Amino acid sequence: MASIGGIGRATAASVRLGNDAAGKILSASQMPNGKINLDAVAAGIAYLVKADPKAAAVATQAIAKRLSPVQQGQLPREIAEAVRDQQRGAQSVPTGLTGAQKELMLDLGQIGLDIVGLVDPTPISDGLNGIVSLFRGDFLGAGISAVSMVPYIGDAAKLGKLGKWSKTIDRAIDIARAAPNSAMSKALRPAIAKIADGLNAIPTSVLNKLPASAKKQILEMRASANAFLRGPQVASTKKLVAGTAEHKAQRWADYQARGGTWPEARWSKQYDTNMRNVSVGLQREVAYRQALGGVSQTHKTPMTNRQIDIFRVDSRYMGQLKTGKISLTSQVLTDLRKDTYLAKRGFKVEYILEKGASKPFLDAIETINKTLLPSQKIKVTIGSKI
Amino acid sequence: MQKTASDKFNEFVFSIDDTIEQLRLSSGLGEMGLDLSIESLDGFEVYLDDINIKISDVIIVNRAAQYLGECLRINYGGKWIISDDQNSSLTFNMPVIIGHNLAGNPFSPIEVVENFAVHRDRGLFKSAISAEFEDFDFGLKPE
Repeated sequence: MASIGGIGRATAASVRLGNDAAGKILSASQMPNGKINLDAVAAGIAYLVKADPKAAAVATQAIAKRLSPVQQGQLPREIAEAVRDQQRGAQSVPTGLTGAQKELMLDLGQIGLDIVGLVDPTPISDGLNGIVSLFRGDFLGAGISAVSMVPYIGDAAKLGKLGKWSKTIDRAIDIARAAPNSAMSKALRPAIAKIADGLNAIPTSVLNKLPASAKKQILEMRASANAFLRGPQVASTKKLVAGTAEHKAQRWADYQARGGTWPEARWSKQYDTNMRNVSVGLQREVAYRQALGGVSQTHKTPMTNRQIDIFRVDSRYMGQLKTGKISLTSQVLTDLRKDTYLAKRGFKVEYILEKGASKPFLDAIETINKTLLPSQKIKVTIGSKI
Repeated sequence: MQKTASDKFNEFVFSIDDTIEQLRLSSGLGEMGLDLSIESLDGFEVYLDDINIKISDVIIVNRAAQYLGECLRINYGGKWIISDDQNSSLTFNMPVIIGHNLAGNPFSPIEVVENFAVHRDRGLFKSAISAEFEDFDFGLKPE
């Protein structure tokens, strides 16, 4: 049997509860022919996981001694399945999801527990999550959760999970936004809301003690989850005309709400610069479309819609115009992923970089192009084309 | 009476079996060559190139799209629907496939076949299908 995270620190009460529960579960699971019904055992332990994870670990080991070697081998998988079933029930996961969709739901549930564990002064969230991790074969995650069971002391170990959390949350948000009325989206929203609640509950004092990169990642995840959840407010912001006083006031309020720390004068200077760039950029796009022929177009991608600056239907050309120097920001990286998808579908993608690009951006294009067929490579033109 | 988008869609889906039979005969590739496998798409591209497929030939494009779409659907699941994406002039009201991947993004075989008709890039069909299941994570980080 695999050892269960946290059992070494089980309290006397948990050991008692676990042993009592083991007896009851075994008794309830015994079939008339004397054999033990493994499904019933797994269901019983799954319920115990919810109530007292340490007791569940004790019970699992006690019960395992009564099982055949084959059943011992099967038990972790059966318990994992039963825990999943219960989580699915708790999260109202709709039926008909693919295996990958169910995995995503389970990932989100686990992230929610982990985040609660960051600020939960009791070890319950972490203990439960450690067991869930083990059952899922996520041994690194299980190890981290086990360390984190000592409240606040081991939490730094979780910081290693931040990258994975961020990626999973972004993926879930992208999926939910891509098809807002789908059953999957409806199931994702409460899971993301739970994560947002957990992130919002992290005290500033805890955040300030984290390494800068970890703090940044947590704040970004919090901003993404909150922005997704307050969708309609974002939409109302978008209705304002860029560059107007109302737009600027709304953007300043949004910036402060997100935790921005620039003084207003510094922020205002950046806003004015950006508005000028946007205005210049839009004028240039129009000029390119007139000179080269083409229209502005959006195209669906798995990573949300891609705005195409210059789309020529006859040649399936998709031009992206950058009037300022382009750097490899996270937004640009997302756009590159979308462009790669479009290139693989047969569109000819070109970046027109009037003021050039940073080396990391050009390196990224080179890396991406290595994954594409020769005819699909993303073209880069430095300087003006008109 | 003018056909509605729904009528056209149902005719498109209804005729898929017949189209595949006709393609097997007319291409000379037969049931073995056009067996709806992903591997069969390379030979199918050669055939479309040989007959000089053009984007303006709507019937050929539609037939090719029926075969390409069925290859995806048979191998990865999903179903045909009418695209309601009004943002895209290329796919709006066209038959597309959804439900084949986690992202929920529609796959438009007509769009891919049209792209093939314009550029004749060999390997496009397979790359377009594989793109439906990639996460495009190149291990890149923002600077």
